[in-house]
Amino acid sequence: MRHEISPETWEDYMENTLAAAERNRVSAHLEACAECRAMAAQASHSTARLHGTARQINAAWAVSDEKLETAWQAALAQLKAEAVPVRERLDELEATMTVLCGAHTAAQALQAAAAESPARSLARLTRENWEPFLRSLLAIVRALCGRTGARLILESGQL
Amino acid sequence: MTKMTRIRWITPGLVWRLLALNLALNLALFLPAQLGWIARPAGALAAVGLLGGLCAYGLALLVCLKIEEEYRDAPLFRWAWLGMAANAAILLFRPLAQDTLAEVLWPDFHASPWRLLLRHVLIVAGNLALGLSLLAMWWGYRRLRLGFHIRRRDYAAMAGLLVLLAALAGVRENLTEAASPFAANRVLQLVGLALLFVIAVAGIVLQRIAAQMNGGRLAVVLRWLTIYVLLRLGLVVLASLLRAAFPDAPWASDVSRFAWQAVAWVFTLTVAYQMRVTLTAAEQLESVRQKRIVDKPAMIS
Repeated sequence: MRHEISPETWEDYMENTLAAAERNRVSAHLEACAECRAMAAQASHSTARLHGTARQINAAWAVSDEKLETAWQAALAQLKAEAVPVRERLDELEATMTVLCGAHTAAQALQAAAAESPARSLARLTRENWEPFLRSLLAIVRALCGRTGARLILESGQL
Repeated sequence: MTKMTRIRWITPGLVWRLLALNLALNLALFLPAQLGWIARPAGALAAVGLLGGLCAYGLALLVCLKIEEEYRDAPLFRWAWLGMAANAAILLFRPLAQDTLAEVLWPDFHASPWRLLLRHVLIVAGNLALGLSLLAMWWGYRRLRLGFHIRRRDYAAMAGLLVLLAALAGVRENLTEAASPFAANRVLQLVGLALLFVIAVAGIVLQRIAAQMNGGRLAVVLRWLTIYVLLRLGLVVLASLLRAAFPDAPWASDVSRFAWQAVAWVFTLTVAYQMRVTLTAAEQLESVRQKRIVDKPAMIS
């Protein structure tokens, strides 16, 4: 599916500052595209966390914009640091499983494990919901490749 | 180190070499006799057949039992590999019911009516074990819900197999047991044939799953399993055709016998490829552990 939504449009959409016609176009695309829907959900989650952090800082101290910006950047960096190992680990797991049971099976197994875990989708995987995802994946790999395959996924899947 | 690594010497390469050796020995005995240089060495041919079968299915049984241990946490796949082990164990005894060497253990065995009954009981039991194991495997893949699905052309192939079964049943007077005075032999041969078709249908499903896997060691196993089950069916059909076309030619039964010996090695090859799945996983696991040992001091410093 062609997405045809620029990063700027995404940002304005998430910030709710998009013109009505453009906003309707993006909403219609989201209804049809599961990939973008998952990405929007992830972005919405991250934005909400950043706003929450800003509110906490504001409530705790009366701070200058400069300090607020620093805290904001720190929270952003933490979010990024959380997301990178998850993505890297997913890629490694997919590569490992592809050797054993093929590219299609590996991709499907990761998606099925994510769907059964509290994350519900690969895009929503975080450090917090990684363990239940890994457990679901282990059950699938145990059936496909046996105990040794499952041990491999368990050890390769540690964050 | 997994238990599997103790039998890691049973590689697909070794099995290919043993298969080649088995066929070469057969040809070395068969061709000079066909060319009229020597008398037909019936005893030596039977000995090669018996030893080849025992060796192929013995190795396969050993590997199947190790694979079964690997799948202890996945009941359907565990039953599938237990079924394969049962198939190998049953087929280990099958040569005893059809080779002249059995005469050593049981005088006048060849003329005994029990010989064919025993042979068909073993065939049906082996087919039943293999059929159930393939069905368990198919059901296991289905339950995983990984997007494997049967296509229209698979249904067409299954329909083709059904037509072939109906055709064979229609001309069943060509079957070896058609004129048997024992009703049990006639019925068992038909049941064995029907099971062979069920197995071939399951083979088509497994081939589709292998294709949809899009590569990987496991797909190789499923492809060889499909080749094994389709070869078995193909040989039964071919043997019937040869018997109908050349009723008095001893070479026809020799060719069919060599082909069955090759089929035994194809089964061993299949389980050797499955063992390679586990060994590959074990190697990757070792590499992950080594990487962690190397990375740890770097993280501390």
